[in-house]
Amino acid sequence: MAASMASKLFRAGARSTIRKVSLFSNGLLQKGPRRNYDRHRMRYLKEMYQKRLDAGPEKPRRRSEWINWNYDAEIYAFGQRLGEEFEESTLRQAFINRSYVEGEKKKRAELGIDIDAVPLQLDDNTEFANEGSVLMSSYLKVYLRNIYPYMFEEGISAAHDYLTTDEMLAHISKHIGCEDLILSEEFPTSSATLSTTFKAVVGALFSDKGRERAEQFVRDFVLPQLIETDINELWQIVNPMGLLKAVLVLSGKGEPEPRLLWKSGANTIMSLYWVGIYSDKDFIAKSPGETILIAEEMAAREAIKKIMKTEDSRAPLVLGAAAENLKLDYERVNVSAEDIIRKYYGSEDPQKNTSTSL
Amino acid sequence: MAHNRVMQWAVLARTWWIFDANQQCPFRSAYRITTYLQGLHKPVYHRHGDVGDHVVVFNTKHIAMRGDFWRTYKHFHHTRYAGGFSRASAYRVHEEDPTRILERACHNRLSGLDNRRTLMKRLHLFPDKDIPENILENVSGQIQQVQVVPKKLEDYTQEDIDSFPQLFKMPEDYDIDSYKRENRLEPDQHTSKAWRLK
Amino acid sequence: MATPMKVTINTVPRIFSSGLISTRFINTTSTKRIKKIEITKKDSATVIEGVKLKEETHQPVREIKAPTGCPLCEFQNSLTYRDVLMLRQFLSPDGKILPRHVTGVCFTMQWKLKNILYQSYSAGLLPNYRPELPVNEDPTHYLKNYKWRKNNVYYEDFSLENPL
Repeated sequence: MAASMASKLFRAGARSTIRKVSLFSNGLLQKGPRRNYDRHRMRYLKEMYQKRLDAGPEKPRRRSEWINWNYDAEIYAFGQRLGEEFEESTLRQAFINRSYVEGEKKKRAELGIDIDAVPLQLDDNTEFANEGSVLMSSYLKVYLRNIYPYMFEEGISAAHDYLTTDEMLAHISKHIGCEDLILSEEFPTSSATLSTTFKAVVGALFSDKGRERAEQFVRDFVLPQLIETDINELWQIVNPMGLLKAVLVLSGKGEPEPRLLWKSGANTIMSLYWVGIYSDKDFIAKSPGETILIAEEMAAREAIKKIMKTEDSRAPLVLGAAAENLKLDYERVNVSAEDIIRKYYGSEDPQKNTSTSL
Repeated sequence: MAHNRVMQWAVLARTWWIFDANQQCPFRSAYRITTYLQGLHKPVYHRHGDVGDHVVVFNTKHIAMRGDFWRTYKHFHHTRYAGGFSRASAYRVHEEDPTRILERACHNRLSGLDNRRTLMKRLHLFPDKDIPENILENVSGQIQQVQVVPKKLEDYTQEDIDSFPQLFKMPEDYDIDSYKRENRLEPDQHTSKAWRLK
Repeated sequence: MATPMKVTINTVPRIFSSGLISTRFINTTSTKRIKKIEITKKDSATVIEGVKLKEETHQPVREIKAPTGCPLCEFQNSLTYRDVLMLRQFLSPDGKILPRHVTGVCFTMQWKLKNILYQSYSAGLLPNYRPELPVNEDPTHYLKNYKWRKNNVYYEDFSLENPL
């Protein structure tokens, strides 16, 4: 009885002290005026601050080092989160990096276990990654060619390269939650590992559910990265006026003719020129610029955008539910700008090469 | 490279406008001119943004004021010393500086703005048609006048006057000289200076 | 009657003009179908005759649609001091407003016309009808004393052209 009383009293005392510390130590929640001056508080706080600085930043740790980590549950949740039904074994394999397998073998060798006698039941994700990479890149090109049928092949490849860089795939991979699941020796995980894992996830889905489902996965997670990026910016055209001239002449129209449409503040630092491009007295495109040359070049780019039908007023990408019934032509190949330039400039007299600009 | 960059440049570059102040009310003109100075005519206008345009005004010597305003409209000034108050009628101010009335009208119109000095620097006033070449080259648009420029009867040709339809038919037997004023060729005792001095 | 006098009058004019005939003649109103009195003196007879002036132009005459018969009633809200081609028709050669029995303008519009003509004249749109100064008269320096007169003036109106 007495013991329980004592423990109760102790608890009450402890609670009261904690409360006292939490509420009144910072002095913010104190109702009335403070009547004391704590000489040690500032010294104490400074000391703690210095210790924090000396200790340096927190060391990055794997998620699995925390106590509430359950790999099986996380693997299951990964598929459920994305709405895909993976087979557990393939998904597990997709997250196993080559370095992890080698590390495991090394550990066993150190422990003196013969690998031939007790084989290591681990396959890495290299094969899945290769399959996924091929599928992803072919589908991206097919999709872009069908959505932008008039775009030059170089532009399509540029958009494809933009989407399949390691940084882009690592970004996607990190944000769908692959980072914690990856089994790899290196830490923190490099973007190459992350991107390989993402490709392996696509490959795993391909082997589990077939091509269509894997392509849908690519459409849902990779292609949306093109939203809010200008697809025309991805392809750097070196000489837009030369390309425009070749395209127009080969399609049976007159050569492009730049005209000054409007100018303002010609003698000031904020001068503005609008240049329009005409062919056979028909208006094609116009663009502003701070000098006539810049405006003319930008107008040529605008004209090429119009020819490719990827101007700023283009329709948005067909994604999500709208893309369910999308009929893609897998054999399609767009016109290549290089071919056009070779055809126009390469065959005949070389003087045409020099007269590309104004 | 980017097309967005030049589009942004096109939005934020300052346009130069021209305004002909011939036979225009300075206060109504100021209403319209300051709209352009502040950039209120632009969809991107914001009071904290600096999107105003330049305005070149010429023919300020030939502005028109309403009714008796040339005599009755005053410009006031106080030097902040005792007895430092002074005022001047509009026509006197106009004699001194033909651009002053329009400038003050715009200045007063922009009262209460923090950037009034900046905006007023973008207003270029010229008393007559002579505008410097380097300024005229910048101009790319014209601001509509606020009032109709009236045409004098002398400026109509005889053909215009003849082709204009007659509003009424005069009676057949009307004598055109019936109301004619006497032209007094003799000196008048009331108006003659010689008579008054006598 | 000391001297015998013969008066021949073909048509009786409404108002006789004074004997003086002006040498200056500014013809701002059209001389159409109106008469002028001519006085000729022969040795023992004075002939006063209303001579019909030659028709100079064939201006079309506008049909009056207002039930009052007033040529200006249709322009009640739109007549401004800038319409000098209309206003000049209501002025006599020396700048006076023609009387109502000649022009047929109703009382209200005659009152408005008076004000509008004042505005038009003040704005300098109508010619200057000032009479010649008497002989030996020192010309007053008009612009010297009324310096604001040389500047441009406009007047308020509510026509569609000036909607302010």
